[in-house]
Amino acid sequence: MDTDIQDKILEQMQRTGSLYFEWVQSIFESGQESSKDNWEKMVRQLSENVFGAFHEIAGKYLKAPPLGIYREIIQQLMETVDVQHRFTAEINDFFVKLSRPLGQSLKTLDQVFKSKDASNPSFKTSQEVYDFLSKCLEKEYDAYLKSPEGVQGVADLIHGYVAYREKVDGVKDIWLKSLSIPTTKEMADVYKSIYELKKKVRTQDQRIAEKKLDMKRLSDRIKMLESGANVKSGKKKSDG
Amino acid sequence: MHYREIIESIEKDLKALPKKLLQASEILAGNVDYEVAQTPAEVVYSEDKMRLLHYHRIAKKNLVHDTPVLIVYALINRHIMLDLEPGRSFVQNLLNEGLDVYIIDWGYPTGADRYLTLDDYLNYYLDKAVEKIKSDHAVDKINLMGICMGGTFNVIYTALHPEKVKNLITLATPTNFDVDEALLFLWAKKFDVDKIVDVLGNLPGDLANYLYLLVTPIDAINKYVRFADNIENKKMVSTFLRMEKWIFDSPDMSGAVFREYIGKLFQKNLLIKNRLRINDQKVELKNIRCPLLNVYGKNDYLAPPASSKPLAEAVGSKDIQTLAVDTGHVGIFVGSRSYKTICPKIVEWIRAR
Repeated sequence: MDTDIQDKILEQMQRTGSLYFEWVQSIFESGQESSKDNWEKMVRQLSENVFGAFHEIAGKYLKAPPLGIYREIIQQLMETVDVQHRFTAEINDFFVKLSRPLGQSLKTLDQVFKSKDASNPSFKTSQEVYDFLSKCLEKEYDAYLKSPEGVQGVADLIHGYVAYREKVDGVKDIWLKSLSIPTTKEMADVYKSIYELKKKVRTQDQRIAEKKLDMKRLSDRIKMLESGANVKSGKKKSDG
Repeated sequence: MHYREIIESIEKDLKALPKKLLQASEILAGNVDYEVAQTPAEVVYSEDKMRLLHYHRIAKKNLVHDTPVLIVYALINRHIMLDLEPGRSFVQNLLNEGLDVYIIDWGYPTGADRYLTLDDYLNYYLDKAVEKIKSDHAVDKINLMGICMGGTFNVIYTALHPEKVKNLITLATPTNFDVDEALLFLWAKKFDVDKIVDVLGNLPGDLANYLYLLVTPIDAINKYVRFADNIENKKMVSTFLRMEKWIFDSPDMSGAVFREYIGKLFQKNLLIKNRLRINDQKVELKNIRCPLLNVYGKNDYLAPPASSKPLAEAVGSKDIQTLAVDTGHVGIFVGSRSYKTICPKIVEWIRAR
């Protein structure tokens, strides 16, 4: 490989690195209001850059043809990288927001320390300070987690994880397919068939048990009728 | 503010710290006993991953009731919480009081169990366990005791099979899910449950666990601070490790059950409205005519009183007793209040019926 190509690859990597840096910075700023658009934009830029850089390096410089399974794998891989960026940003956003009640509680504690109001608690031990802070934190977290924003935050985090897993499983399935190993989807179908088969067997077992019970009832009835008939014929004989 | 005293107390804590850490390392590196579920029991029936355990009766104790009790635990976490350690065991207390006790161990579902529905759990596994006990004891009905989600299972089961249940005991059991004071209920309403199950197959136990910890994040941290404070106490360390073992021993939940439980109960609240259907059978709570003992914790943040209390109004039983206890969710079956107050009351209630 000539030095020109090496330089271009390094340049691409450097560009991706600086975008990663900007991305991390925007995540940490996302605790501030109306910054979600910011990191959404960053994620898009970063993913596009990683995707473009890979194509450029693999296709233009290393001359790999973007065809067939290769193309599918690259597409899926890039989508996974994108969804992973989004999920990481979602986690960070969640934790930044989760740190707000902590900030609020520390502010309350600071005010109590500075206040000269006699109605405020007057701490004598570190334990008392800790207990006071714990109570503040409990109150603040309960309020935040129950707020519409807190509730939505948890749901977004879970859905972000699910989207991430969906993509990862997709890529995993392509690799499994290329190695002739049953894919996640194929295994799910096998499990479903086993489950349905078991259900059928259970239904059959239940029907057999019911039939056996019916047969037993019938046989008991026949025996009863037979013994009744025997008694009658015996009586007739004795009458005769 | 007494700044000098605060600084002095911090100094005192810091001075005591090295000795404490040394003691802690000795205890933690030594043989700490954190075995759980030590009460002897025998597996009397098993099918797939479910096992029915029959606890050995205490020989000198006379039975208070001819009818055995079957305890049904939730699919979240494991039943081992009911038998945490000798001397701190809900099950042991019931045995000591003279009850004949069975429990269902649901096991650890894997990907192969993702299609198991509420119908499979209730009308098959639970029903098999009930039939086994009935047949072994030659009785027509058994006593059913359910904890949390296990209690909800029992409520549905009793409504579908009232002829098989003599007495129903529900502990910390939610039946009304239209409650805004519980975080789990609020979160569950926002979940795209179909998407979650379609992608993940089963609900990962760890994911459920993180959500439980997030309900009370400060408690989740404070317990480690309390643990550090008492780390030189070997007995406490042992109990703490057992609790941790229970908390982090979270089996996955079958995806199909999660879909139904969240979709039909948490999101649509169909059970208390008598609109729930299990395998096309309508679950009519008025069908529950056996005596009912409904126990709930006044400070339960997982299954708050507003979610447990309405059951008493919804069933068709004439003999209903509600027991509100000054405790939280776990406090109903672990801790001195549970062993000294709740267990004897449950046994007394069963004895009278």
